[in-house]
Amino acid sequence: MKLTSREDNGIVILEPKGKIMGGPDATVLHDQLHEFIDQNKKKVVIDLAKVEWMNSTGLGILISGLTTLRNNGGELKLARVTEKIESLLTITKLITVFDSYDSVEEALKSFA
Amino acid sequence: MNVGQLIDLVYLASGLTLFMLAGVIFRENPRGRLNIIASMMMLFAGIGPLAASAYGSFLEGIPDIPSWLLNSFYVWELFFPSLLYFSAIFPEPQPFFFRHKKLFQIAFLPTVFHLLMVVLLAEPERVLGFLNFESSIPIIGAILSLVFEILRMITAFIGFLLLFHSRFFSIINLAYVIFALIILYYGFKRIENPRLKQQVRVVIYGISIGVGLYTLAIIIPTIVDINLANPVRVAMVMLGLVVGPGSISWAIVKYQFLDIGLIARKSLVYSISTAIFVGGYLLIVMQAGSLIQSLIGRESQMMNVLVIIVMLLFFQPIYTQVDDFVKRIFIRFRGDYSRLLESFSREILTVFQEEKLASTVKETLRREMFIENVEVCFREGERSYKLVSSDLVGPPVEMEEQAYNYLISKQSPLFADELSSKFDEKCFGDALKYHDTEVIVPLIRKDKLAGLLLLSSKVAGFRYGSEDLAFLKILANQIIVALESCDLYRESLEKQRMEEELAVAKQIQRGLLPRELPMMGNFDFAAFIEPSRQVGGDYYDFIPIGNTRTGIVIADASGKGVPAALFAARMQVMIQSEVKFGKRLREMMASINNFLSVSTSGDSFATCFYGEIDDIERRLYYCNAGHNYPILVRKNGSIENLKKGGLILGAFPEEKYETGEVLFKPGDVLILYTDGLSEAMNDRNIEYGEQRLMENIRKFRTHPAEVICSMIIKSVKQFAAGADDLDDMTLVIVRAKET
Repeated sequence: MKLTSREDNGIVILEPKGKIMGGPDATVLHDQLHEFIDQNKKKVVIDLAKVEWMNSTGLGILISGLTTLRNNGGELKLARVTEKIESLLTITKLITVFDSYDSVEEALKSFA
Repeated sequence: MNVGQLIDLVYLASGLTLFMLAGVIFRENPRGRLNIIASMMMLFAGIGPLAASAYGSFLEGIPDIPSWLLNSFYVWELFFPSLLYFSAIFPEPQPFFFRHKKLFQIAFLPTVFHLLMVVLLAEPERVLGFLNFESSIPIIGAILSLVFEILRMITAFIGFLLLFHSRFFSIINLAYVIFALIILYYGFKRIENPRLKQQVRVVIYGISIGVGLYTLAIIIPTIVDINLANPVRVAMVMLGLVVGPGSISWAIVKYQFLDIGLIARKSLVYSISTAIFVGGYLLIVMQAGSLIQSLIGRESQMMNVLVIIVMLLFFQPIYTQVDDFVKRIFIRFRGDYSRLLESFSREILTVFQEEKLASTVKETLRREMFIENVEVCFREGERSYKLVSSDLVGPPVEMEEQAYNYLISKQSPLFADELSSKFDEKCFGDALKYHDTEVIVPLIRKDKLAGLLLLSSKVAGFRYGSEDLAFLKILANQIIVALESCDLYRESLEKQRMEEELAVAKQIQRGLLPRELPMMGNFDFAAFIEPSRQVGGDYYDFIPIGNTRTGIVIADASGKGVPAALFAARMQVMIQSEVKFGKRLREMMASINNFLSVSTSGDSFATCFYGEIDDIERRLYYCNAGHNYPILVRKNGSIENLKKGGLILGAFPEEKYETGEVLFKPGDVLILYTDGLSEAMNDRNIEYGEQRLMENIRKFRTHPAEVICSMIIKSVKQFAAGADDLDDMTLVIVRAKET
């Protein structure tokens, strides 16, 4: 997994690419999220358009990211979730927990 | 050969030896102050015996040598101020040397004056004779005669001085010798390094004895006007001549004194041993020749030739022996480094920790090469190196890319100034300056810089020679090998630890599984589980509830290894105890979820399907907490997914769950599985997939549960054959019997 990030109007947009699986890969995403929280950046959009797949560890990272942000008064939103991951979110019913949007712009707008 | 000739031969040999030493020492470092002064001292000292030898051998017979020419041998007296100068800077400059440098230079002046005096004015009358010419012009003649008169008076005065010049300047020389010995002793006392002290001791004792003997034999008798018996005097001078240069040669050969290179040391040993050998050979040949001559009573060329041939035959094997002996005894210093390498490699063979390795390297280099400070750095990050086993808490070495690449391309130890002259002074951060680095030894492993040795200057101003650099290069290779074994050791420890952990995880997982399949009148069951290499969090369970109901669990805890297995174990305990309380399914799941959410870290969770099969009602009540939808294949082949339930367990508290319900008819088959089965991939990265799973179940549905189970597993394994690293794979089959 490769991870890039940018900011738009105080909202952090994370763009992981590849597979979000266990191991050092996943730690990067986890650490990055916690770094933003430390920097008091608590509005985060994860653009999943380029994520082919994630396993349970990957889901765990999203969950802990969401929990941590919410506990700190922030929010994590998902954008452009691919079909495969959407089905994963559906089966696990996590789709009811995460706000997910068809585009990054919509996700950004939802923070307003 | 008579005694006189033998004495001349010894003079000649010691004179040549001193010349050679002078050459060797000078060539080793032509710009070093110590080398210049030491070689000057040896050169002047060598002139003395050479002159004596020449005088004794052939000059004596020639009657008409002008005395100024003979007196030019007095140049050897420059030895004394050289000795004084040498004493002030050996083995390192004394503190007062820098303050009074001029004084040591001025010390040469009296000797130079003496030399000029004895050469130019050896025969004042003869000099005056040159000047005594007439002029036809009266005025010039008058001036000339006036000048002549003045010169005559001066020369008369000098002639007067010349009467006892040797006594007067002997006093000066004696003073120099005394001062020099005092200063040498003072310097010697200040040395702290024991090995250096040993080297210097030999030299100081040698010089002291040599000079002391000469003083007793020549200088003091000259001053107090005693005539020593000639043999005593000659013996003392000869002994002095052998001991003085001998001690210096010994220190050079044995201790690499003044860092004289190997080739120079070798040639020194060979020249001296060959000189002694040839001397002995000539002596024997001559003695044998004259013996034979006296026996047969006449001179015989034949016999002489015969003796030489016999001696040659006899000496050749002896010479080989001597050669061997010399190599064994004197070139033993060669072994110093190789012996050191040997013991070093034996020592680091048993070192498996980088810190220990670093301190061994540091210790060894400081002890054996007299390096004041050694820093061992190992790679920490990209071009960044941390100091291991440092006495100082210094900054890490941060390298610029150019400098890094240069070290890689260079491959060998190099002087720090080579680097700072090529690149920016800060190309190593502050490290070079901070550690006073003189030599950098790169440790290159697989084209990467695995580490560095930063060596400061040697104690007492010893220099790094080419031999040192060659040795350091070999040492670097050994350190790299040792680093590799450190890595291997760490990896094997890590692997062992992981394997132990996996064994624990496997044990936990196995402990979760039911011992036997439930027995029910209308259903038959089958179950399969295969943990992955890393052991995931899969488990299944059958819980008997009363006589007619059975609880079925299939779950997949997130993550791998022990944490996942523990999570599953905790969940199992919860489920089993909740089931005993007889709660409704959705309440039970909510309460398990609450418990797990609060009691575990935020990123661990589990997908879990729990169902209760009623044998009489032929009904399944279930709650699916985020698990892969179990597949119900009806007898007619139609398919239903069991989706009702709620969110995965352990992620968010206070979730609501629903209960689902299915009625079984005979021949219906329910398949519960984990994603390890449906997502099993083949070597072309294609998933087995739910589609394929459903088709296969449809195909096998008429068989008993046991058969369906094994056929599906077989089909998955065939599909994924050759793929590595599968996930945990769990499959539970429930089939409504056809009566």
